[in-house]
Amino acid sequence: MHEMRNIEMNLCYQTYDILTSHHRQEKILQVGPVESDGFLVVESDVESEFGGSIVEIALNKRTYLAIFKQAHDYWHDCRSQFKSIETQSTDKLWDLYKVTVSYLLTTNDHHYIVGIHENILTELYNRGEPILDTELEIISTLISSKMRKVNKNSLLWHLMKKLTTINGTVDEITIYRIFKSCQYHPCNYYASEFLIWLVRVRRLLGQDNELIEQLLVKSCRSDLSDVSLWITLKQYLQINNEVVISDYNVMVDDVNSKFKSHISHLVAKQHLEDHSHLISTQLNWLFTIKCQNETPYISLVDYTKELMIQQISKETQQLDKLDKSGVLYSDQIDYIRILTKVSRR
Amino acid sequence: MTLLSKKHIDYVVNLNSEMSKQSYEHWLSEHLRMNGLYWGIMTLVTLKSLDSLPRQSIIDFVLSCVDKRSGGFGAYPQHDGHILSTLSAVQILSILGALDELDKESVIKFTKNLQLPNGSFQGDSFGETDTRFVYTALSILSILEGLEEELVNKSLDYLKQCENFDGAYGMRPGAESHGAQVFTVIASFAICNRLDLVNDKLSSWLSERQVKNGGLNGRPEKLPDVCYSWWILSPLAILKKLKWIDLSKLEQFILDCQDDEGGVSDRKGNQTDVYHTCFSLTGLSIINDELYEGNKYDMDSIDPVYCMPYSATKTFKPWPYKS
Repeated sequence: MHEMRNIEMNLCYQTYDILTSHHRQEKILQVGPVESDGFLVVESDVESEFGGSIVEIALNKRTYLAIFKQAHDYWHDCRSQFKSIETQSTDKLWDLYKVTVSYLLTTNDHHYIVGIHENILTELYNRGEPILDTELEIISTLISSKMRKVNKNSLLWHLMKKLTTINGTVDEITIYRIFKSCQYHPCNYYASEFLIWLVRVRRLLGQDNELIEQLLVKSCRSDLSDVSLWITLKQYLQINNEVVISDYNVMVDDVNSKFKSHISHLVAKQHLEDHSHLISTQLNWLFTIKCQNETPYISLVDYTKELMIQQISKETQQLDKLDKSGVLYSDQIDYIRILTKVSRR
Repeated sequence: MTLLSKKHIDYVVNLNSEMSKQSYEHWLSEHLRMNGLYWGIMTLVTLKSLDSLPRQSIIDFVLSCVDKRSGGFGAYPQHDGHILSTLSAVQILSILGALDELDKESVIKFTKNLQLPNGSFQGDSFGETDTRFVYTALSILSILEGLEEELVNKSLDYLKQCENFDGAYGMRPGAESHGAQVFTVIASFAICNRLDLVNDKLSSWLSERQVKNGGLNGRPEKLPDVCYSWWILSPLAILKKLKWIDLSKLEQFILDCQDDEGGVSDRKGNQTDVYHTCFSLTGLSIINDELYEGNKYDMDSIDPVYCMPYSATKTFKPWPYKS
């Protein structure tokens, strides 16, 4: 009986429309003190720090809760539709997809809904619907939003890996958005884990990581205390093919079975990448700014202990030129202590 | 500040009230209900007040979440089974002495089927993998006496791959070290009777998690959070290295995070929730046992491997099983 009811879906439609439009480098989605209900969209005249355009999308808490309620009501009243997606018409499937998208915006770590969302996604994909770009736009918007719990939802990051695998790559806008995610949510564990996975897979697939390297270095330098970014840099410098291949191939099996695709397994490949210039440049930069955080050094020291030891000796010689009772002297002692501690790890 | 036991008990009991079920928060967190129930029950167990909730209603709710198709438990009735809610369900039934009500073979089969060829476990058919899920699987199988040699060995091989340069562990191979992941790996090693696999560097990494105000963080440079009073303290307890941090300062930090109206928040003055209430008090129980021989606070002793009372875990059969 319930399923005969004409259930309101206007907010689910609006959510879908807003998340799939405005394919900009920076699409800043946030919940904030907006007076009017619905979504407020502001196109910025200012260029993003990466040189692209920016659009800001805001909604108030009332709208946010209303979206959740609408999705929740639909799901509860029409549960059987979600359990029989193979028999639903394609138009109906798109509606169900929009309901799950509204859930993804308003809940976090909802395993059940993410599973249903994936089932609908693969069903639409396997029916030949042009859904992959739409899905990438939605998920990359959510993971780079300013909504803390959505931004660090591990399920969405896992979905990003699947989409990257089926797509074979990610576009530049997505890469920029991942770094914005790191900026909005410092020490973003899942974003960094995704980045580590991405650079390693791209390396094995023979894709270049130039843009990622450039953005990674820039992001690391802008936050010396962001342990996740600096560890990502450490992992970027390390080649560990065996584990990456096994991990990626598990993903390939999953994607092939669900999307009925034929992506090949990765096989071991010899890689000779020389990162010595990148390492010495970063370490010398840390010396120049006299970085007092341990983490940046820790991420680099294993690759070049020698440079570190030379610097300790240089800084120690500087001590003789300083007044022993002054602040500069004690600062220098602290600095040498940090370098020494890290070099002894 | 003293321990506000009565307030915390009322706080948990009120979460189950009819009024709270009318709120948006109740429905927004529907997908966490089984975990939330476990956190509430563990809070009450730790405070020796499990009888504050109606036992049979809890058992009925848990059993209503069985996903007959998969054999696991969902977070809420009619949700698909997931390994996280399945562990919570098994833990709750075990604590209530109601494991006989469970179709053990179905749960064991569900859990074993989630292991992938590389030894990791996925949470459900969505395919997300994480050291959390390895621990969760091993814990379920240990409670239900369903461990097997091949499964254990593959799990251990995978967990070893998640070790980092600092001796700690991340959620997957190559992922940054994280306090909560360290708990899952060390407790897994303990379940599998393989604590010899722990890197000597780990205890230093764990002790470096204590910050100036006594609280513990989960990663370098991060703010302290009261939940790490469990995630960091329990591996130190398992490794018998509790003296490597200042427990008195941590005790004070935990007490400061209490709300006058009951419940505990991540840091002093923030919004309370049942997750932080559970893991702060279970951590405090470890301190109570270590510093005061269990006499300062009226708390039950909690097993650092299972995050369950010893009264329940003492019956678990240790691995390897004797034939």
